Amino acid sequence: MPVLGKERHFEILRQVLAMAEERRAISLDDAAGAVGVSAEQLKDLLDPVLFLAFRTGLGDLIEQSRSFLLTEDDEIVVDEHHWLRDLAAEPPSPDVALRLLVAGITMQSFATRGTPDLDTAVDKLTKIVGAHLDVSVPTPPALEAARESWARGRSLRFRYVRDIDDVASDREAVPYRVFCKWSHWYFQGRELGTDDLDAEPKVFRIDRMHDAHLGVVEFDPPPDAEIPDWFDLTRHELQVTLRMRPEQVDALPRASRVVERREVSEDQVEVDVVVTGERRLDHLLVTLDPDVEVVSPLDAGERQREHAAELLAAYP
Amino acid sequence: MAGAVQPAERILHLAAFAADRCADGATITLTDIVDGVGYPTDAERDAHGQLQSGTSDWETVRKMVQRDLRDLRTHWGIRLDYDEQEHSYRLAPPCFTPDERRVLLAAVATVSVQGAPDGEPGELGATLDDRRALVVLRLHHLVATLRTAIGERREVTFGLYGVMRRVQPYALGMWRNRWYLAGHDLDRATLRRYRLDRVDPGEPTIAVTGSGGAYEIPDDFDVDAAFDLDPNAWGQDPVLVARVRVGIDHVDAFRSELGGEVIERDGRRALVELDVRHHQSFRDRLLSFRGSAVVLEPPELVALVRDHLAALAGSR
Repeated sequence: MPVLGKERHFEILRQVLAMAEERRAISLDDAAGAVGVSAEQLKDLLDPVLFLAFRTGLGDLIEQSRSFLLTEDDEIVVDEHHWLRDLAAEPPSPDVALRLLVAGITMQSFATRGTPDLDTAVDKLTKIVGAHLDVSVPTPPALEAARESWARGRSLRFRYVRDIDDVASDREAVPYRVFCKWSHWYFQGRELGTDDLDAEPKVFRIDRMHDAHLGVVEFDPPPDAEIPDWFDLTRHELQVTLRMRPEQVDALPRASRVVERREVSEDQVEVDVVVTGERRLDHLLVTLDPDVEVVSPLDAGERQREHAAELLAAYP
Repeated sequence: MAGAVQPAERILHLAAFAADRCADGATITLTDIVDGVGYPTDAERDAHGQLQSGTSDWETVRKMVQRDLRDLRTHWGIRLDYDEQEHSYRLAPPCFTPDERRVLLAAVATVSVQGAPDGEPGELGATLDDRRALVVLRLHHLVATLRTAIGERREVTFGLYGVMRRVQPYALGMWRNRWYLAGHDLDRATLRRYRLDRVDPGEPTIAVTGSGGAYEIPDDFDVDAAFDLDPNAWGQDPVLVARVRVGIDHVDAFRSELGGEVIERDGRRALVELDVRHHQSFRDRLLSFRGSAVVLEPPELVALVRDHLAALAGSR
C-alpha cells in the first residue's frame, strides 16, 4: 500500500469515525468502500489507533481502546463515550452549521416534549451561523394517530377528503411510512378493502384526514419504503395568462406560481401563472380582482364567471 | 507503547493524553506532554525532571509538539490553549456537549435538509443516511448567500418584479414551504419580507454589497413575529368576528388554514368562529373551500364575499 500522507490519513480516520458513530456500526468493507481504500488498507490504517497509549504523570502506561473497536466480525464500532469527537472545540463550518441548525429548529417545531439539549445546541448553532432562522413544520390533528399507526404496525381508520373533488369517504389503510415533505405530512400505505393486493401503495395527505384512529389490522411495515423524490404533477399543471396591476401579483394564491412576467405599460403587467389541477385553477380565478383581465386560455373567463356564480348561490 | 510512530498515531496519542489529564480543567506542561505521549528527545532537564528551555533539543521537541497541536486543531477541532503566564496548556471546552451532539445527530437523521452546501467528510451528521428521514426540507438556493450576508451584516440588492431593492437582511424563515427574507428596506425605511422564489433572476440574483458590519439588527427585532406570515395575524383591517358554516369533513382543514374555534357542531356541519384582521385574505382563503365553507356573519364579511363573487359572475 502506498504510504498515505498525514492529511489523507486523518481524513480517512475522521470519515470512518463519523460513520461508526453516526450509524452505530459499519462493516470494514463498507467503510473501506466509502473512503476509497481496500479493506486490508483500512485495517492497516486503523491499526495504530485501535489502542491509544500514553503515560500518566506517575509513569503508568494507560491503554485506551475508546477510539475505534474492530470486532471479530470486522465491524467497526465506537463505544458510547466517543471522546475524540467529544473534545472538538472548533465549531462546524458555517455550511454544516446551517444544515444542523435547520434540522434542529425543525425538530423543535414538532417535538412533543421539552428539548433542553437541542435548545442549547440550537442556540450555539445560531451564533455560529450568525443568522436568525425560523422554520417549522405543521402538525395536523390526525398526525399523532398516523404516527402511532406506523410505530405500532396497526392499520389506521380515517375519513378522507379527496383533493380533486372534496368528496369525503371512510378509509382504512396499513402504513408503509409517515413522512413530511413540501410542508405537508403524508401517510403512505396500502388501502384495505380493495381486492387488488398488487396495487401500488397510496399516499394520503394527513391534513385531509379526520377522525383518524387505530384499526385492528396488524402489519409489519416494509423496510424499504422510501420517500418519493417527487410527485410528478406536471401533467396536471394548467397555465393562465393574466393582465393586472403589479401590486396584484403579490395577492395571487400561495398555490400558484408565476412563471413569466412581462411589462405591458407603466401600470400593467402580464403574467403567466401555473397551478396544479382544475380545482386550484377555479380557486385562482375567483380570487382575482374584477379588474384583472384573463387573457388566455380563451375559455378561462367563462370558467371564472361560472364558478363565481356557483359559489354565489350560497349567498342569497 | 510502540516506539517510532506515525504522525497521525502520535497526534491521536496526544489527544488521548490531553483528554485524560485535562478533563477537569487541569493544565499540563510541555514536559507532561513530551513524557506522557512519548516524544523522542534528549533535551536537558532540571532537578525536578522538567525540560529546560532554551536548548536546541528543547526547541526541536517544542516545535514538534506545536506542530502536532496545530494538526490536532486543524484536523480534529481539538484545541489546547497555551497560557503564557503559567507556561501550561489547557484543553478548550468542546463546542457541543455529548448530549447536544447526540440530539443534533438525531435531528439530522430525522430531518433531511436538501439543497444545503456539502460539508467536509467527517463533519457532524455528514455520514447519516437520510433515506429514513421523517421530514424532508429543501433550502432555497439563495439561503446560503443570504445567511452569509446576515452573518457579516452586509447589505444586499436584488430585483423584485423589476424593481431593485436595497435591504439590510435580518433573518430567514420558512412558512408553508416557502422561504422568506426579513430585512430593513433602505429605500422604504421599513421592515419588509420578501418571498425568495419571487426574486428576479439575475447575475448575481442577490448582490452582497458594501462592507461588513454595516448595520446592527435591532434588539427589538422579533424573528417569530417577522415570519408569522398568516395575514390574519399581521392584518391591519378592523377586527371582525366571523362565523363560518363548515362541512363536517372540512373542519380540520379549515381551522388549519384560517384558525378559529368550533362553537357548534352537528353530524353534518360545524360553526366556526374566528377573528379576521385581513378581510381580503379571509375572503380568498374561504373561497378555496368552495361551497363547504360559507360565511354567515358579520354582514360586512358576507357582503365582501357576495359582492366580489357577484362582480366576477357579472350579475351586477
